[in-house]
Amino acid sequence: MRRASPSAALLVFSLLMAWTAYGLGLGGITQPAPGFFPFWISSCLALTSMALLVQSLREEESVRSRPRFEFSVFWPVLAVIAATATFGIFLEHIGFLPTTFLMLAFFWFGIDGQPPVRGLLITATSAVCAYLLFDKLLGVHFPRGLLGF
Amino acid sequence: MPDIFSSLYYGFTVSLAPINFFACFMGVLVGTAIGVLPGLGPVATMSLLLPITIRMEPTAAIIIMAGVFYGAMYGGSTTSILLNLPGEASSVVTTLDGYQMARQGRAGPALAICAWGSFFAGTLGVLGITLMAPPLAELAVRIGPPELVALLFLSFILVVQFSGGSALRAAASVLLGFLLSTVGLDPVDSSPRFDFGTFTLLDGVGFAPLVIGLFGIPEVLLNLNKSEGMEVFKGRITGLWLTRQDWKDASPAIVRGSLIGFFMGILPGMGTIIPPFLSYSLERRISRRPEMFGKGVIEGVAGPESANNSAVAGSLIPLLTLGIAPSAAVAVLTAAFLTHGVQPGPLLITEHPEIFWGVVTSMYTGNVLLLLLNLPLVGIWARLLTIPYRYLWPLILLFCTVGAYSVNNNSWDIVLMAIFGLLGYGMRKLNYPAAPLVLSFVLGQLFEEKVRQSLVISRGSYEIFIAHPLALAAWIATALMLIYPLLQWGKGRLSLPSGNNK
Repeated sequence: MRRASPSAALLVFSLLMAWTAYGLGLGGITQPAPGFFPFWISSCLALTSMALLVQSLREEESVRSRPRFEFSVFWPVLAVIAATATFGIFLEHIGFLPTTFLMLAFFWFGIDGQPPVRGLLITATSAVCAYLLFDKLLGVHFPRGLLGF
Repeated sequence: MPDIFSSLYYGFTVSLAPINFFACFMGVLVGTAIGVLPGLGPVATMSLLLPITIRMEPTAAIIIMAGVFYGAMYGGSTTSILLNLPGEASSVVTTLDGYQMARQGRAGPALAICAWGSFFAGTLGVLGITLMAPPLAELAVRIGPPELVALLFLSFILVVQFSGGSALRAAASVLLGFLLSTVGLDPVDSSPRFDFGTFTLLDGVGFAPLVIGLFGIPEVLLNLNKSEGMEVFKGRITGLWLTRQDWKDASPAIVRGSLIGFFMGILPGMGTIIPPFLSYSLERRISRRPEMFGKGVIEGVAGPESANNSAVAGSLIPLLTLGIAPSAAVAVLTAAFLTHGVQPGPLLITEHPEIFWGVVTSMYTGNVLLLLLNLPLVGIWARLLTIPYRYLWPLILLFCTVGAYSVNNNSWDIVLMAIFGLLGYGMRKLNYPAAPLVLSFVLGQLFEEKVRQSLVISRGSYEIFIAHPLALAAWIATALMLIYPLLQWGKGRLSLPSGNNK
């Protein structure tokens, strides 16, 4: 069932999108309303994901011999995604420099396991250099946040 | 013909202006660097540069982005040859014979033929644009919304057919991209769609968060676990001057690879990844020593490397003449044009000749610069590979977040990028191609707009879509593209029993 689950998720997603698009109004075939295109695209996606689902269920037997899902491989992926999303959420409130420092520190210490002194030095230098490069040199205006930079 | 020469002269006066020349140099330099470094491809890098180039002049901005695109093709081969790991996707085939040549002490000739092959192919490709784009653009001016609808639909089908791997997965990817393109305001009556009450989605899904998320983030995530085992070629790189025999073996492959790359690059969905494979398989098929392929033959390096470079030039033709992006990297270039308020397409030559001819001639200059950067400085590029990836990936991620943020100065775009990053990672793991998603995201908006425009023109009649010969031809081509795999499938099923008996 593991191989079938992405197709099943895609099917559920496309049906939800088709339902939402239907709510926007379809109009007529000669005069499409805002929901017309999204509805038919979602429907085609639902059909495609159904075909993929059937295909994956047929292949299920051969999948059993595949290596199992390993948490040790997947956790850095989730951690990186979560850290990046958290960076986006807190950027406006805390400001670029502290958020960057915290994110890079998490990457180098939490995920990469760098030794403390070297890790701290690289993190601080990288955060300051990134601030100077993007904010001061290239004129990307970052939110000032709590500390004013 | 005299028109072409005067246009080229004008183009060189634009591209050799100090700021544009500097942009070209920076583009090819960055392109080579990211091509050499595994973990950040040209699509993600161009997306990262997109917000930085907003403050530049449009011509310089497009020149720098194009420089990154074709520069990465040069750089990618260095990693393939010295590390047995492609610097970027279009150099995968180069690893087969390139790394074997390096192991036999012929890293120098392998790198040299890559540089010369790329130079020849790049120059030939630019010559192709110079000669083909103006007449095609003249023809394209007469293309109205119904013909464009037919051509765009054909593009979607071609993208699915040529994406490689499962056509069903490619179709799902195309549909997902198309669906994402409908987020935001309706193109006709401006009513909001799928914005879920958020300001960020009201303006549609941002191009930078989508592309950086789908291409930049998964590269880092996939390399997190495998970077430590990389072993760089330790020997001295010698023999950069090729022997007469090397030239004799490689020259025909370079010419064939360049032609394959250029013409394949024009087709939507081909990108720069499939032409090198086609070139390699052709070289092996017509070779007098096919058994030596994969063991370090120079033509196995020369053909594919030429093909990926000329494919870059070929893929620019649909953009410059029709405004259609045939690959993900060209889709980023389209976004760069639009960000600067310039519509790529048939009117580009007449409305913005300085951009069109400036960019085309900058590619001649860029190819010369790349040859100078890649041959004498190959040792420096090789040393770049010795930087441990553990120091690079957090910085690549930081650049990704800054790139996603700075287009709209909206921090929620970073969250969106992270979500697309996870989607991109999942797609890579499950063998769903990401490039068709980006292509249909870009073309989908145009498709919906043109369909609805056509229906307004025809007052709701669908006959308008087949009324013009070009549109009819495109629909017939689409039908053939759809029927052909079915016929092959049926033929396979019919012939299977007799095959089994044999």
